[in-house]
Amino acid sequence: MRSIRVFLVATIVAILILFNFVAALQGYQSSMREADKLFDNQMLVVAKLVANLDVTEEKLTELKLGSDLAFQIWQGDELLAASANTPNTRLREFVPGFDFINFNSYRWRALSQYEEMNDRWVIIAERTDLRFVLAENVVLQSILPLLLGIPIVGILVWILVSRGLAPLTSLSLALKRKPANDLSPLEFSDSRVELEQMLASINGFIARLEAAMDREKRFSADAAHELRTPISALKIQLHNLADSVDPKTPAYRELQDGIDRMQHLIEQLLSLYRSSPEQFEQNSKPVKLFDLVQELVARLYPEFEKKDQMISLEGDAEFEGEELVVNGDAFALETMLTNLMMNASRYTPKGGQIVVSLSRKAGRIRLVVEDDGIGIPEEDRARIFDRFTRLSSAQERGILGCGLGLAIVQHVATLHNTQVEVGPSRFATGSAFSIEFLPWAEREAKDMKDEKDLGA
Amino acid sequence: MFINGVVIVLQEILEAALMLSLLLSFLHYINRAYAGQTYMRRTWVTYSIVIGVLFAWIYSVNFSRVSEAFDYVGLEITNATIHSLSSLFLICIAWLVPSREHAGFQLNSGHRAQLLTVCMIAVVVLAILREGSEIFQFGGGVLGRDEATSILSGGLIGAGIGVCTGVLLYYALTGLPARLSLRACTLLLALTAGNMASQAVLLLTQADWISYSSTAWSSESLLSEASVVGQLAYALIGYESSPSWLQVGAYFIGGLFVLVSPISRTAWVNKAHWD
Repeated sequence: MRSIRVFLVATIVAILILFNFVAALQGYQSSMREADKLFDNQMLVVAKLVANLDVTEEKLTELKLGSDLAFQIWQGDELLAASANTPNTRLREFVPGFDFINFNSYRWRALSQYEEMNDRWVIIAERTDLRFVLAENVVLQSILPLLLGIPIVGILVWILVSRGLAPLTSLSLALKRKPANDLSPLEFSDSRVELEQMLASINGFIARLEAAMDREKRFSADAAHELRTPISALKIQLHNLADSVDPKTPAYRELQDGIDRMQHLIEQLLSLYRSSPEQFEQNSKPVKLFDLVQELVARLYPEFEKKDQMISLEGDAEFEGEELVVNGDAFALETMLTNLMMNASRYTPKGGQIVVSLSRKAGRIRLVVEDDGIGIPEEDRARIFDRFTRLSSAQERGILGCGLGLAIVQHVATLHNTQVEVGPSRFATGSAFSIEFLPWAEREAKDMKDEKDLGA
Repeated sequence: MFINGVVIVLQEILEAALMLSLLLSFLHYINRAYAGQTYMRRTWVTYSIVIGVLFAWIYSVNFSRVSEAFDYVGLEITNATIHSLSSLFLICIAWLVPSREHAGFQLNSGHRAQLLTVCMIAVVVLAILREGSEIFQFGGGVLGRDEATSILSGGLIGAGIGVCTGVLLYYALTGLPARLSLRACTLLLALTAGNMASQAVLLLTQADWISYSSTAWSSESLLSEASVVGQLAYALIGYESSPSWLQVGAYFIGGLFVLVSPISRTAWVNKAHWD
């Protein structure tokens, strides 16, 4: 995911460096040109000085010129005087002005000047490489601080951007810390002009969500009451009908199946709506998974017995001295497990086997429900968790169901930050549903880490 | 001396930085276009840079040995090979980037994502090998000299300008609207692939492995290669003021292979999801 902070720091520092460095280059070039002019002016002064020299031997030896400077004094074709580092020939033609020449294996900047008063031509030459180094050393003194300053600028930009983004980070943290069941408006004291609209939108959204939640809660309660009551009445009427109609007649059986199916569908729909994220947060607590599974196996045993099915529970309440505890909503987990086990029973023929196993795998708690039933073709595995999906193989066999069981299982798994995987079972036929939970202690640690990452 | 340091390091760093920005922009496009389906990581970039620097150093210390090979044109041949491979891998990238034409295409299925990553690693390693070896060679020659501080300062300024231009290009490309960003990326990819092919031809001509062909045109008066804009154009699109006909041909063919790829058609011709 892209970070606003990295984007801002990278682009601001890049633009600063680019402009500063290009400006430094520009400054370097113009400073070097100015330094050249300065050196040329200096040569003009030296040329004037040399032109008026007394050319007797004694005076010339007093004149101490460095090896980077050379001169010749000509009168017509006669060389009156010259520095030791020049040849006896003319360094350049008698043309007034500056030029570049080569001698003594170096390149020189040369100046020729005619001195009318003494009728002399003076040629002054200065080594370009030494001139260049001298000029560059001066110019670089202004560029080096730029290079050294860049890391400091980078750190300052990072600090400033972080400070600028701090209210946004605080808002994210406040939102993350807000429990899912807390639908009160978000109070955020560190608000800025830029965040005001966002805060208003968030609080507006929370208010609308609260209203929607209230409607849904009322619907669930009303539906539970309004739909369950007539179905109970229908069941009583059906029971009474058995006194006057033979319960084995096809019409009676179909009526009974229809009422059972409707009751099941309503119960499943209510389970789906009851296991909402905010209720999950509210009811979330450590759940001993083994105890829950054991209790459910015992409770549902009569259902398996009806079909002569054998159900077994594998695993222990503890693994290496540690209890298998997950962070979750016991009611939602119970609904999920009941659906998985009843699903296994429904799609397994009489006398079949169902195994529920609990184990620790790679730091996670693994729950598997498998059977030797009709199984699920591989191409259908992706869609079995969709709501109201019933496979043709089940319909052909006349297996009752409303297509909501696995959707509920998936929904509960998602609430617990995990997912359901389906594959072949350990038997020759049948399927296995496996879910991996993060243990209680590790989940706590992960939540703390997520919070820390957000704050960083 | 300072300015020499700037120019040499800038030329090398700029080319590698622009190449890396371009590839990262493609990754950004893939992650944006296939959000929820796939996420191509960028961890390989660090490894590629480390491997590239290592290879560049090995290559630079063996420069003299390499240059003696193939009748003393070993460097030209090796560099031509590096350029040709770069061009080839860039063309492969263009063909491997998933396009919207593949309805229901899953990037994670098969080995497409892995192949794409391998090609990107190869391009980055080759770019750093090519440019880094020259910087190592330059640095080795500078150390111990009186002007070392001045040249290294120049090198740092050059490196700074090169890297910052790369960073800004990346954010400019990824900040554009999706279609425009993809258009710019594919166009730059085509120009870079063409540039690499053209450079390979130039090097083979210099090695006398390919016979010399006449100069196609001269635009030195319009844009000098030595100017700052000329250098930027050279790094970005391989601008040369007086290329030979063979170079122009290689440039055209390299670019064409990218421009006929499905991703290029998605960017320039087809109506895609963003229309």
